[in-house]
Amino acid sequence: MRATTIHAPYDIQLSDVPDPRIDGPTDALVRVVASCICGSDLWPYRGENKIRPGSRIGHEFVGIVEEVGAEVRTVKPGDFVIAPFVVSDGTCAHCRAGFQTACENLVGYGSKQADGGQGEYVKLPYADGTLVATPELPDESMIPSLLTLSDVMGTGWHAARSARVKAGDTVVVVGDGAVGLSGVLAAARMGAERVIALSRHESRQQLAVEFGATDIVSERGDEARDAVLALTGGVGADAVLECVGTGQSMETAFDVARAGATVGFVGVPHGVEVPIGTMFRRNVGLAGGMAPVRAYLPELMADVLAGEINPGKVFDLDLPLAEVADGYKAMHERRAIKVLLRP
Amino acid sequence: MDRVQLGAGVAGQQRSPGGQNGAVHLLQVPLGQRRCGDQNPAPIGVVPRADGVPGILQPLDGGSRRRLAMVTTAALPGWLKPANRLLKALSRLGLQLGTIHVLSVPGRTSGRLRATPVSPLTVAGQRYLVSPLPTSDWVRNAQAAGWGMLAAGRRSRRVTLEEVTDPVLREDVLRRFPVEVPHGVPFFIRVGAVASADPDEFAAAAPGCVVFLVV
Repeated sequence: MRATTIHAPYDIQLSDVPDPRIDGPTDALVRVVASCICGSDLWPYRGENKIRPGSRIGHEFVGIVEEVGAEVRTVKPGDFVIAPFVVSDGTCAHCRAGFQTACENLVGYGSKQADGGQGEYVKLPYADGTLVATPELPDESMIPSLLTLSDVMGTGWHAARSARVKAGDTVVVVGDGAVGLSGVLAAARMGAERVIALSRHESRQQLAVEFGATDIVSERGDEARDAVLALTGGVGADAVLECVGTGQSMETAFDVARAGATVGFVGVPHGVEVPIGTMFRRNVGLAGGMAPVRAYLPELMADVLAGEINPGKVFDLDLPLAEVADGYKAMHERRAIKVLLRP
Repeated sequence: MDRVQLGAGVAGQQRSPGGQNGAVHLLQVPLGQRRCGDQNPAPIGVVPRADGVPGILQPLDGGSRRRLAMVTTAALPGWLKPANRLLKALSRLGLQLGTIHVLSVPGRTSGRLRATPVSPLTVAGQRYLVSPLPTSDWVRNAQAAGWGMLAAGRRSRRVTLEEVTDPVLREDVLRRFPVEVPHGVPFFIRVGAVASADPDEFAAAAPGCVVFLVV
């Protein structure tokens, strides 16, 4: 089969790799219908993470189950499934508590145990603890939205949950990538009265508004803080979603949080220092982390299938898998918010 | 004098969104819809209009239900489009230009936000937007959607746009317009709605204008 491999910075290829096959009782073999490129895939792409030449890449996909191991109970061949961005056993204490991303038997895609997501097929272990099947084969038009549930939508949802967004709140979302935009959608869906999106890019502002943003602030740093304070009568926001992961974005997040608010963070931290003094003085909390998207999948899937949310709008570039290298380039150059790949 | 029939054929024109790579296509932009930022493909000076709306332009076929436009190049001055573009760009850069704001309303067919410079005015504590062109795209989009994003500099806010139907209130708002927004007067003159900055003349033009209450 063909699967995406990374060889060096900026060197992404579609390579011939051995066909995967079921070899364990909890395994499933999935024929990928659609996968996508994640912002986090850009770190190795840019050489910011170490690259093992020839390794597989991609961790967000949906597809049709082809075959399952003897012990698999919750999915069967022919099912359309959504795969969260990591494999979890579903039975350990952390999985049962709803933090599948801290599973004792966590498996990453593109490893020895599970194929990379940007390929034609993926074999993975712990199918029951990982995959979620739709009640029936979804309409083609639903596929982008279902695909976002493998990562970005669940991650944005986690940011809003962690920030304890509730009906009537004023919420600030820092970051206008696919996750930040999903955070806007999540906050609006949770009943936030006012959703202030910090966004500098016009196409992303457009989507933020479609997703329910009531205010757009296209400034950064101190100016963004001043703008939010001006919009909230000098008080700040009830909840803040930090969806970037830089020192600057975390600082802004705390700057715009009112006393007693919680910053929900899902941006993978790069050089972030937590302002513990501010947190103490103003009772501002910090919660969140790697999103347990598996925990949110059934609820969000129902919302997507009912047409309540349409997070698939974050995909603004749709490419055949053969052009995966162009997809990386487009996302790296910020020409695309998020790229969908079809094998 | 140009005669242009407006409808799906004109409003639906679009450029290929794919850029240079023919295989690249955008998932969320079905054919027949334009993307935000695309310029109106109709030539400058074309104003779509509904039948029976009093104003400065006469409908081509008064009795017909089809939406047609009869256009003179005097209807919309040639500088309007580049000037609008410049104002929007400056506003995006964070410049505050007098009373000028940028209003973005979702397109009636595309649903994509489309921006246009506007000058809100405040009368008796309420904010209003006025247009002497009841059939201009932004007005029809605002009537259809009932909301928009109103931006001043780099900050924008979602607002509800309620069309004012009370003729007395419309007159009051129009009467204040030349006083509150003097730089908007030449546009009203240019499109033929009024001949001068006289408030009474603006009030008299109210039946042919559209007024939105901004909430």
